[in-house]
Amino acid sequence: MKPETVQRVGRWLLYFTVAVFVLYLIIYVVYAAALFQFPYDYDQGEGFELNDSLLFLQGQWPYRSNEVFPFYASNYPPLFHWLVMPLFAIFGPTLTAGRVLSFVVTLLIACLVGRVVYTQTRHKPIAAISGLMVLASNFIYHVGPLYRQHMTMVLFELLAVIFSARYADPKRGKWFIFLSLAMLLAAGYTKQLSVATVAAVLFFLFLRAPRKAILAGFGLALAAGSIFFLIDAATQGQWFINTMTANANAYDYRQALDLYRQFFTLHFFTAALAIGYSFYQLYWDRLSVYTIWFGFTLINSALAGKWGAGESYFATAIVASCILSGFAVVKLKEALAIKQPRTALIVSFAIPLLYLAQAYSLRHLPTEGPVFGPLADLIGVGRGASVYAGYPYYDSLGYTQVGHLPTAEDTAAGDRIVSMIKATGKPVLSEEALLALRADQPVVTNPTQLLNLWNNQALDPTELIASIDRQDYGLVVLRAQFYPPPVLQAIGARYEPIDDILMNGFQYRILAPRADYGAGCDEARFYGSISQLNAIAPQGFFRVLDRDTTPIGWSGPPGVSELEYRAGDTDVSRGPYYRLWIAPLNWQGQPPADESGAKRLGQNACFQFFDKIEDTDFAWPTARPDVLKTFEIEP
Amino acid sequence: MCGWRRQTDLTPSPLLRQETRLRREGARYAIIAPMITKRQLGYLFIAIGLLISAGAIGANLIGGRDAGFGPFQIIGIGAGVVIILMAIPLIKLGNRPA
Repeated sequence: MKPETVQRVGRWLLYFTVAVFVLYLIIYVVYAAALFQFPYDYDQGEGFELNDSLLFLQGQWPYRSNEVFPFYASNYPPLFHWLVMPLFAIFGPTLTAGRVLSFVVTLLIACLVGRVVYTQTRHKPIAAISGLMVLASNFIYHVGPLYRQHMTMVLFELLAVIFSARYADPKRGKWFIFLSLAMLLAAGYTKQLSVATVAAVLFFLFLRAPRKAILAGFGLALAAGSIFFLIDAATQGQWFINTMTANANAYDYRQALDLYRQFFTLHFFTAALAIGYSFYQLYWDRLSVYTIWFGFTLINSALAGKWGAGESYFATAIVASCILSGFAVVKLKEALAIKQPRTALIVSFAIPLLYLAQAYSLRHLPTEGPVFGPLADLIGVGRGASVYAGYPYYDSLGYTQVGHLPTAEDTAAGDRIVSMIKATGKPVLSEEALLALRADQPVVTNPTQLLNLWNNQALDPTELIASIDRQDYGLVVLRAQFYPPPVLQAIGARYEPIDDILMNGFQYRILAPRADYGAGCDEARFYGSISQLNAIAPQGFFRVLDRDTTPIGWSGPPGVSELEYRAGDTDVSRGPYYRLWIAPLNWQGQPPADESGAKRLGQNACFQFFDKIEDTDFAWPTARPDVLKTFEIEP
Repeated sequence: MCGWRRQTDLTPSPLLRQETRLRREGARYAIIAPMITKRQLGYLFIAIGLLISAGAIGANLIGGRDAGFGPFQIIGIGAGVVIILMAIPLIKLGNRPA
């Protein structure tokens, strides 16, 4: 075959590859359009992000105490929620506003990737493939059109990297550095994960111009730190607790390794090219900002092993790899064209084939309908194939809870839950915000936030459990049971299942208040009792010190809970003003011989009480009689 | 005439001006190098690799636990060694810009 013919075939193959990736773009648009019409949480947490925007719209911070009604706070920075707010004028205060923003943002990212590759390579088909590859990635397809801030963060990161690449511009170099820092700041205040891009950009500047890097680093730290402390001060420290403490979750390295395996399996060609190109630049060329970015973000993706993290943590690395793979392909073609023309011919033929193999490894599509049904048959997936809950959607990733198209039945199921909530006329304790919002009720609790804080010993669930004990909520709606264990225990004690409704492949368990729960001497009542104590304490509050101890001076089996009262004094070195022990009725222990320890006050219908007055003269002189009266304690 | 000549002698040539500027720039960057070389990057890699490995080995001591070597420590030491191995060719590349 003549070299010209091989070249021509290679070129047509490349155009065909572009067409295949355009098909992925169409699938992405179809998916996004289906999500725009679905008014409930598609991905757990979307509704809470909407609630954050709504709180900002009302002039309130979503960084607030999780220990007082409505027991809700956000763990994400504010920028994305602010950016959505203007779109409420078009789409109303719905999930669609944020989903449209995220969708447009992903398209922008793809365009920018294509633009960057084209600017450097002047190769239109490769630039087009690089850009479209972003949208073809299973990971980005899944999270792209959601009311989540992740892709907006990636857009800011990408812009920061693009601007920093022009740091040496003779006329506007400083201006580009400033823009890059501004984008890094925006990325950081969109999602904390962008810290790797901050490090990558500063490291790149450090390699090329250390002085500029140090100045830029100081400037960025000053700006970011000032905003951080301002918000923290404005929210009385709740900003730190909710965005930092609540994000320090348990880490499972196996989850991270599994996601790395998925990333490399799905994106084998682009990842291999990006890694190869990175080594080429490391040893034979100068490191570009894109290469450094890719390296840093690939390492940072290890954070996907955190509880609650997932595939979206690879989005930045995917975008960086799409850019680098475009650079690598063109570099390879150009280098071979000069040194080994015959090999270059083979490579020009092989590259589109490898891109097609990559496209095949990424395959995901609806498997029903006049277009997608035959297409599913054509690529061997099979019409009607499903990877999740019977939805006609195939994904080479295998089982995945996102990617399928929600149906009208799903919306009807959500509407049914909402009508049940409305019928109670009371607030609902729901694991998803949209069910409450669409029932015109306040969003009460953010379960994962509560669980994260509980796991970090930074949550006192007393008032929440006390409200469950009082059956303040008309219904409880559970989907994943992410609440902290004592909250779940209290829900089980005061509410009973009345229905299970299937929506979007998930079983929503509806619970109504139990009419008869006996004496109710359980965890719910225990926390309810602490809430009663807090209500009568003149200042400050009671704190649970130990759930498995004995009253001071008493001998006997553990199993008694110790509470302390400090009247707002948090200096632990001074000791509490008043101590109270709450024991089950069947607890038996021996009192201290010299009466120096705790005094047994007596018991009520549920618990035995012991106390020790340390110094209540100043803070609460009537502590003991008030406790005796409140709990109707009898000897 | 003489004054004119003297003035002309004192006027620095473009080459001298450039040298002066470079010296001034050199003084400014006396502590901070104008750019990082491959060799310096190699040394940085070694430092990072050693830190990661030492951190992985010392994790038990810092954490106060004695549960033996876990997967995190094996991954940490492995990563540290790989980074150090990557640094060796970089050091050999000398003063080429990183």
